[in-house]
Amino acid sequence: MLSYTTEDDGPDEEEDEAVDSKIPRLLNMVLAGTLAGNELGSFAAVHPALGGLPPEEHMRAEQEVYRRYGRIMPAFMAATVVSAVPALAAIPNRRSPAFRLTLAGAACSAAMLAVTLIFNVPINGRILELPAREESYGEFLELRRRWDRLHTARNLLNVAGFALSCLGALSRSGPGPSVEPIVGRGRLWR
Amino acid sequence: MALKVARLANLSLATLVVAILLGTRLAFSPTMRALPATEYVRVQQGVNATLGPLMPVFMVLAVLSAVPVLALIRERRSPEFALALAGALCFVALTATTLIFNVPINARVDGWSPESPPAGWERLRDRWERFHTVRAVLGTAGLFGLLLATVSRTASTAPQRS
Repeated sequence: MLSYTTEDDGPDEEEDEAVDSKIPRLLNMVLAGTLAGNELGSFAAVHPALGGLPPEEHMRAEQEVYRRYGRIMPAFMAATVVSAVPALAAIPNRRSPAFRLTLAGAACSAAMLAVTLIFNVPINGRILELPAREESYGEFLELRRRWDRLHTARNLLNVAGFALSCLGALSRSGPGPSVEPIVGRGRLWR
Repeated sequence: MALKVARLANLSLATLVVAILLGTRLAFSPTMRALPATEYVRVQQGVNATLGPLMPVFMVLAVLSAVPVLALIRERRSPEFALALAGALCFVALTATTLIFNVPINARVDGWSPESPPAGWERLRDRWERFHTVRAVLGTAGLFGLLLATVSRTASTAPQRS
């Protein structure tokens, strides 16, 4: 039997979306936020603090951090980008602000992943290859400067992606008909 | 709409706090443990200078942003309210852990000379790391609580076939 949501359902009726529409968007938002926070933490605190170490210790510590982040981040970044697919698929109206904002957020995450794979990963590889000795320190610092510039770009993309996915979650996902027929947990949009 | 905005602000702040705690715990803490005394003190002082003033503010905002969410949930006996309250309490405990345990240790480390840290500095480092782990776990649990609260609202308000 059909059931209906109407304007009379209360002031929070926009929040009462189908569960299978909301969970993917929520997951995408949280992954984008976790990625943005994690990268901001490393940008604002971790790398600047390690920069105060003497050359060989600086190289060893950075190499250890690169190794550890290198194990965590690829899966994390890929999950953030991939999570946008079900989030977008769950928005029924392709012309709605929710779809466009979530798509723009996904584009930021995809651009961040592209920057990482094309530019940062090769630098990471070279930094890990360098022997932690005084004579390699010049090349190491040059690589770190390039890496930091790219990391700044990634942080901007991450924050923009997170902000856009939040705005997408806040926006209307449909054309806003006064009465929306709903069958079970799925929606029939008119 | 008011609940949606409040919930998004709360979830965004909670996510950022958890991300910074988990990221530093998983990737940075093991590196710190491997550093000799002088280098450890230098790096910890550097981290304290940047994250020290920011994190308590983020944490307090994450706690405060839960208040309108709880106030706007009409049904006080619903799973939604219970989960949101449990999530908020985790963030209260996280903030308390930070202020009672981590911040005083940071203040002591900031007062050390990197060239001559006191004997037993490793004990204080390990103590800081234990509380850092506690708050990362509390934050993760709290974020799950807040997310489950959001999902449980949706599940309970989704129209049923009759």
